[in-house]
Amino acid sequence: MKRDSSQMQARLAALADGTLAPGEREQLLEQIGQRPELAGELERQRQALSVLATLQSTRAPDTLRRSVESLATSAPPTKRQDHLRLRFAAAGALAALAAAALAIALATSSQGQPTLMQAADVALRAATVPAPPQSPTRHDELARSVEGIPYPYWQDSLGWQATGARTDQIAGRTVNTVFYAAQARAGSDSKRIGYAIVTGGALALPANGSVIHDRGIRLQLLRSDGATVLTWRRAGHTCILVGRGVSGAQLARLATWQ
Amino acid sequence: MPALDPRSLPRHTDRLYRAAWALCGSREDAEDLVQETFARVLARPRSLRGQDELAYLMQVLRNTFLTQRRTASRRPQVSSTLEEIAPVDHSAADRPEEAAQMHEALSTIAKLSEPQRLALIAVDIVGLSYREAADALGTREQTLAVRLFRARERLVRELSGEQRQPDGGTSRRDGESSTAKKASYSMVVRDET
Repeated sequence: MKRDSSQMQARLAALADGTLAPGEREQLLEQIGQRPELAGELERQRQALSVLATLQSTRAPDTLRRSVESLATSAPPTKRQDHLRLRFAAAGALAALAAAALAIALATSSQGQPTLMQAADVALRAATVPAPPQSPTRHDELARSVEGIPYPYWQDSLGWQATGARTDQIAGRTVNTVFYAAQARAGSDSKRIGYAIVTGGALALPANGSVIHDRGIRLQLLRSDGATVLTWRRAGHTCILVGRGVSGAQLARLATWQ
Repeated sequence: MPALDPRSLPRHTDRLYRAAWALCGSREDAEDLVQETFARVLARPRSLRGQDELAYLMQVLRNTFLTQRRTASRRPQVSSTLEEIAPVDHSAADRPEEAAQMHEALSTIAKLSEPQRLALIAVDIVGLSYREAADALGTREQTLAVRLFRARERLVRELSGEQRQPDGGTSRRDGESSTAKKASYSMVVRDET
């Protein structure tokens, strides 16, 4: 009996969305004509499809769209793409040279401070020096700070281990970055993030992205070139957490950890 | 064995975003989920093993969602107010009624049981065939169809405020939702043939 009922439900679902085979369709419509309760069930299936049809106009935000396109562009090539890539290598090299020249020109004409995205970009690069150790006096901090702002020690509590650091000069400011990595779980890739603190006054915030208020902190979430960027201000300085394959929610939890 | 072409994947972003929203119940979590899904898929070259690429993406989306949820349940909970995320991009601001209906429908889908929700998302939102959806979700086609039927039934009942009675009948709660009203109007023009 229960099996019959399940089979009927499966057939009604298929009838409603037009995927039931023509022979079965005629047979089922005949049964529905004799059983009003089946007509009611079919009607509700169609109502649901009408509701669901209204969702088709929902589009992904532009930030997400750009992020996905960027990820796809920087993805490892398939063999066929590799072949094409070789053929166009010379043209690509020329384009890269032109882009580099443009980037240098733009950087030197900036207004004396780096953009937030320039600072975030260096926090995605490789570490150049070992990570600072845990502070001997404050167990929730590393033994390194920038103009009074300490870097957090997340290893024991959140599982993010400091793995390296680097310092960069951009447009007259120093961007100090400590890198953290989360240990890989079975079946997942390990993740790496950079925590950058910029010396001097706070950098201008971009107009795009999403704003999160958490524990009195205003966090701004952005996507750039496939990376998730979270920025906030602390003691008048710009702090940035950035990583690839890391969600905004993960970064927000780290930024507001106390 | 055909390889997944990374360049063709961005065209699925909208569909996957809708699926992720219905899965998570929040557009912010959906955004994170879609990004994580694409990041996983594009981390290295992939083979499709006979699957349609959309079905493959649906499978990864589901696995990523389940992994994220497991990880979140192990993590110490902080008093985060991520629900307060206020997007700067208000693309639906000029169509408030439509936006409200979509929110209502997606929130209701997110409350369905997980098997029913996944079946509904795979077939009715992503657009997979029953066979593809069953393969992507690791279940039988017949089981998937039954879950789909029940998910649609529940969706309509929830949106219209109907509740099942002990005798098998239904009653309607006060205040029919706008989405359900729209559904009943559009029912009238559907062609039986």
